[in-house]
Amino acid sequence: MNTTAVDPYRAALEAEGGEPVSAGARAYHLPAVVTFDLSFVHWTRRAAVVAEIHERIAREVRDAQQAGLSATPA
Amino acid sequence: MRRAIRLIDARRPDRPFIAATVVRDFPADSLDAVEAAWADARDLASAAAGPAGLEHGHWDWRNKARGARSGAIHLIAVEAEGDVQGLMAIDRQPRPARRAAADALYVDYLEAAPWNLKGSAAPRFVGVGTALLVDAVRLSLEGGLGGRVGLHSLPQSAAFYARCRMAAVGPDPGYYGLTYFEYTGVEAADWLAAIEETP
Repeated sequence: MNTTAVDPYRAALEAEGGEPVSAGARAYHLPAVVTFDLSFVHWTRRAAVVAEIHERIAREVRDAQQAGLSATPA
Repeated sequence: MRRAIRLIDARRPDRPFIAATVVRDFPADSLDAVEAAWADARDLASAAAGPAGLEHGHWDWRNKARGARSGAIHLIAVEAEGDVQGLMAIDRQPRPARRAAADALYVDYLEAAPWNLKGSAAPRFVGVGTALLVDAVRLSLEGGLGGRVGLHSLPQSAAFYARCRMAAVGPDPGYYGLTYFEYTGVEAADWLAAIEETP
C-alpha cells in the first residue's frame, strides 16, 4: 500500500495560497476632514464645542508625535 | 538576528521549498527601498483584486520609520532572493490580552509583498504570512509573554488567521470595527506543534 506523507509545514504554507494576510488599520474608512453639524448646539456653546474638538486633536497629534506614530496608516 | 526558514516557490510547477530568512530589527532606513519596490506591485495587485481592491492598498511602510527609530515598534522582515517578501511591525510595549489576565504581544501591521498575492501576474512565494506569524509567536515566547499574540485582521485576511487557529475575539469598535484575533499560549503552542515548527 502506498501512503503519502504529508508535511504539515508545507501544508500550512500552501493553505495560505496567496490570499492577503494583512493585519493593521484601515484608516481610509475615516476621512481626514469632516464637517460637524452644530445647528442643534446652542449658539452660545458652539465656540466652546469647536475649541474642545481642536484641543482634542492637538492632544492626539502631540501624543502621536511622542510615540513616533504617523498620521497615515502603515 | 537572522533565522533561516523555508518558503514555497510558486513559480515552479513542482513547488519546491526555497531558502528564506527572517530578519529581526529590520532597519527603518530600508523602508524607502521596500516601498519603492512594493508600491507599483501593490497597485497592480489591488486592481486585480476586483472592484473592492485590496483593503491594505493604501498602506505605506515609510510611515512606520519614525516609530521604528523611536523604538516604539520592532520591524521584522522575511527576505528571499535578495528581496523583502513580507514585513511585520510589532509593538515593543505588550498589550493586555483579551482572553487571559496577562499581556500579549501585539502585531501592529503585517503584510506580504504584493507580488506574492494570488492576483498578481506570477505569484512568487507562498507562506510569508505564516512565517511572520510564527516569528510573532516566537517573539512572544522569548519575551516572556507565553506565546500570546493579538492583532486586528483586515476582513480579506480573516480566513488566514482563522486557519492559523487564532481565535476571533470579535469586531473591535475601538479599532475601525476590525476583528481582533488572539492566541492564548496554549493555542499558539498547539499551532506551532501542528505545523511542526518548534520554538
